[in-house]
Amino acid sequence: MNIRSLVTTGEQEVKDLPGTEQFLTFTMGAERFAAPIDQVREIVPLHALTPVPLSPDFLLGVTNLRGSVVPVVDLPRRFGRKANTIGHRTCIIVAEIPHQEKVHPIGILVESVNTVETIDPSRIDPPPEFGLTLRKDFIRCLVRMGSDFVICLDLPSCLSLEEISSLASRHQESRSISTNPLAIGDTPWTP
Amino acid sequence: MRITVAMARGRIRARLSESLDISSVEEAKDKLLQLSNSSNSLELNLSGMERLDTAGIQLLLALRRRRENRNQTLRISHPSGEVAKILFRAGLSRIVDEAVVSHREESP
Amino acid sequence: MDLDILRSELILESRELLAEMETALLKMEREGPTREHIDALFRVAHTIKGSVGIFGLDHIVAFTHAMETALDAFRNGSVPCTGEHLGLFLECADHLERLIEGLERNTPPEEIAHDVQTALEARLLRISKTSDPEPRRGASSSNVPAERPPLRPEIEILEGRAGPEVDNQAWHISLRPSPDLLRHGVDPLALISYLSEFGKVLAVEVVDDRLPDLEEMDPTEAYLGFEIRFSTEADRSRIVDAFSFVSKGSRLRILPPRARIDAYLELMDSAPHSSKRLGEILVEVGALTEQELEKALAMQKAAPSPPPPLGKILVGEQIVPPEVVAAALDHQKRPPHSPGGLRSTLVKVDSAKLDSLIDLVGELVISSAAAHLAARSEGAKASLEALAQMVQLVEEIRDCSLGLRMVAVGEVFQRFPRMVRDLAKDLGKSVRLEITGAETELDKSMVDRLADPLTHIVRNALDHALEPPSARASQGKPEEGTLGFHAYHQTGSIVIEVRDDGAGIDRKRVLARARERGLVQPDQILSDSQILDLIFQPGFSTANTVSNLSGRGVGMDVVRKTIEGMRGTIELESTLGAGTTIRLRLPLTLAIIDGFLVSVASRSFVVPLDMVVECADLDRSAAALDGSRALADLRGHPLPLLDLRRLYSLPDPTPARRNILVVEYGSRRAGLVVDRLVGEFQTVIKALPTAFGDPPGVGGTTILGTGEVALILDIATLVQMASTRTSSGLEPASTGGRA
Repeated sequence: MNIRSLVTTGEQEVKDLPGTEQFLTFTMGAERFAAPIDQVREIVPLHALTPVPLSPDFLLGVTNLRGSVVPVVDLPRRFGRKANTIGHRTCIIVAEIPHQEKVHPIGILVESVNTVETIDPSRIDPPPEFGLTLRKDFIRCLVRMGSDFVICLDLPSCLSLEEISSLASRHQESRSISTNPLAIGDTPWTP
Repeated sequence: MRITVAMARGRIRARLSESLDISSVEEAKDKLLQLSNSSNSLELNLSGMERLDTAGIQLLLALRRRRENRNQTLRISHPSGEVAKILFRAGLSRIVDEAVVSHREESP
Repeated sequence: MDLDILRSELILESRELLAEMETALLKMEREGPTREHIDALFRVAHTIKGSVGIFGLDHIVAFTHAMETALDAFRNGSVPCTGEHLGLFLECADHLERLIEGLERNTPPEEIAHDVQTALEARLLRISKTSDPEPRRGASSSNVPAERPPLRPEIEILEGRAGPEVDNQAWHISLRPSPDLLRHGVDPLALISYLSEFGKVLAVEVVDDRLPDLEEMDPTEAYLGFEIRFSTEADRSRIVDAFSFVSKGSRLRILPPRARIDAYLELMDSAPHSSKRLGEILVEVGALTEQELEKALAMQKAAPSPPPPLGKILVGEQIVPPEVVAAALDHQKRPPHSPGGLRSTLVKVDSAKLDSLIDLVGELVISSAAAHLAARSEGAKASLEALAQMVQLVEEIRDCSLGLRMVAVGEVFQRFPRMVRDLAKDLGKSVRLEITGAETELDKSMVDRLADPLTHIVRNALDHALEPPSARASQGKPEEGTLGFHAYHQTGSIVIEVRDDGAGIDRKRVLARARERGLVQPDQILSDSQILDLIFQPGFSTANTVSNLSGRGVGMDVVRKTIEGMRGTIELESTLGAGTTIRLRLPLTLAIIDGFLVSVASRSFVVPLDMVVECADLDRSAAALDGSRALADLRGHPLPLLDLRRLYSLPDPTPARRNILVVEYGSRRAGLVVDRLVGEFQTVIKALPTAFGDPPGVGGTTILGTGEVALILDIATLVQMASTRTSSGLEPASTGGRA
């Protein structure tokens, strides 16, 4: 399913209608979330996931996205919430995250993708100052859908590669065997 | 430069795309010569061509002359807008045999 | 008109010429100056002067002019060329390089080592001053090649003075490009469209009388002439300026509005074989009416040669006899770096395009493997046969496209002759450089990354290894030391050896230094290879004095890291008193490897095949150690083992039978304990996504035929882990260690 046929081919950018914004809504850890459509590249079914050893648990592993090796994350775990359960509607939302002058695709595991909604600005609120169960910078805004408030995530911030990779490195340091580069005096086959 | 060649009943139709310029003329020369030697009827479709410069133009002219001298046909067809513009500027719109759009400079 | 392109062409060309100059100078130092070499130097100085002249870069013109004058003194034999002079010219070449660099960075000329330039110019002047005041012109001029092309295009403004005025309000511009104009990146059509920025191009006609048959033509040579009708309010200098980038050797004639008819006549006259045709063209573009043309032709008939002197304003620097121009043009046709040689047809390709091609070929390799797998599991015999052929083709395409990125390793070696000469001079040493296998090819991206480590190795060799002549003589060695670069291919790798016949590595001193630095415990006993290995430790240096050449922070540890970063290895062999060989072994390409697939806990891992030594069963005799490590007995030799299941805490239950994959890195071996050995396959290396940081033992990823991603193991790290005593509670059992 190609959400946005926009590929970086030229000058023209797809502009939203003035005023309204489009959001993709999806479910993770039995909770409904939204994300601005322009932060989502595509949605792909879940294929084989290869775990990468010694990674934090929210980094589920890597998958093959048409020949590219793409990391897949479990965001609720990253948020310290109830992890996703894998079911028949499970799929991966691919977002593009800028990092060091490049755009990196990252997969987000979701239990299901629901709808794409065009929302009038009057129904979009900034994140409140308190009463949140989620880090404020992860939230882009709150969107009123029917009687519910749905948290709209700021994907570049939730998936900041700087933060994720430093979490991964810290995890590896705590788990790994120290590797003294100078292997002297203990190489067992030395007479 | 890219050349895609279709051959039917001794006629060669070649689609020249991307660029025919100083960076690609040497390769293009060899290919065009090869094409020219292998058929009496050659059509060059320029619809996919984005860049053409003096080097490319003189190559086309040399090809045309060679074929004329040998009584072989050459059709240069469907230049892209950009190519039509360049040919017009060089006063060479006439080398195109068949065109959907030909270039006309807007009058001021 | 793209000035930037022209400028970067100029920079590129000048650098090539400078490299040529340096090569010639170094050769002259070794073999003594010859006329041929002096001519080569002159040509370089002269060509650069000509090119920079077009851009009005007066400071470089002045400098190259001074060089030229001095070289002329050698050429006419009035001053003998000495070793000292060669040194001066090397310095001049360095300064020119600085000037070119300044050009690249847009540094104002006065900021580029101005005092150096003044000093060098004064020294150059001294050479020409000492020259014979009456140079034997007659004798020398005959063998001086005619290579004084005009520095600017030949621009004539023809107004005419006889006959009636032509009834026309437009300018007429007639351009005959020099043959190499297009190669210089100038497109006449771009110039013509530039004209429309300050006027209206009324008509353009292409003159193709010089166009040869397709078969004979050099498509990069400019054959077409242009007749342009142009209407503008601007004055003639504006028009002349518009064409100022047209290189030397081009001919530009400009006829102002209402020029007299004989100006047109002269225009036609200059192309005698096609004067009729040109006349027609003039009518076609609207420069002349039919009647005016007839009148002009009648005038031409009435006044046969010699043509009357016409009102001619020469804008170009000098009038040159046509035969000189012809000779000069002929001279320019030859590329400067291959005098008289064949010009190989090269196509410049953006390396990013090559990379994406190689990526795509990688995909093709994967999907053809997948197709093969699918056909095999379905037992589709016909498909399998067809696929076998396709797989073959895919392999050829892969080899072909990888070949596109291959360049000769000599590209890195190029800098060493000069460097070795300068260093040897500074250090008072005498060194002969030997290079073999410079044509050996390897991946372009590796060539770039090899420059720094090799430079470091060369510095080390000159600084520490090769002895001063007196010391060498007293040991009975030839006074001149030898430093050799030898490149060759060996079973899928490229090997680069740097060999010196210097002092060799003194193990005692290495060990003493390591103890001093606390790298080795006082009671530790090391094997010979372990002692040599110390040299690659961070911050290690055996020089008694820290010279200004090496030992400035960057050490052999960085060299090793760089080489290993390219999946290469570095070996060191050294005999005390006889010399040292450093051997770099690198994969031919960074993109595709032959892998060995293993599985642990139903997960796939890939080991680069060239690091696999053998496979063995894991039997019960292996002494289990703590954590993930163990020790096996392999035909009487102890082999440290690393259990991947434990190392990576993989969940599945341990199967009854397991295997050992014996891998080797450098001189160390270790066994990886895995569940299943799957087999060899070819694999495309893809980086592990940034998100995962740098998990130990994981070198990258690859996509299997099934579409599944597998991790490529980093054997260097794993071998180290297997054989290292660590502080984190993972002591090897007592069986493994020594007391």
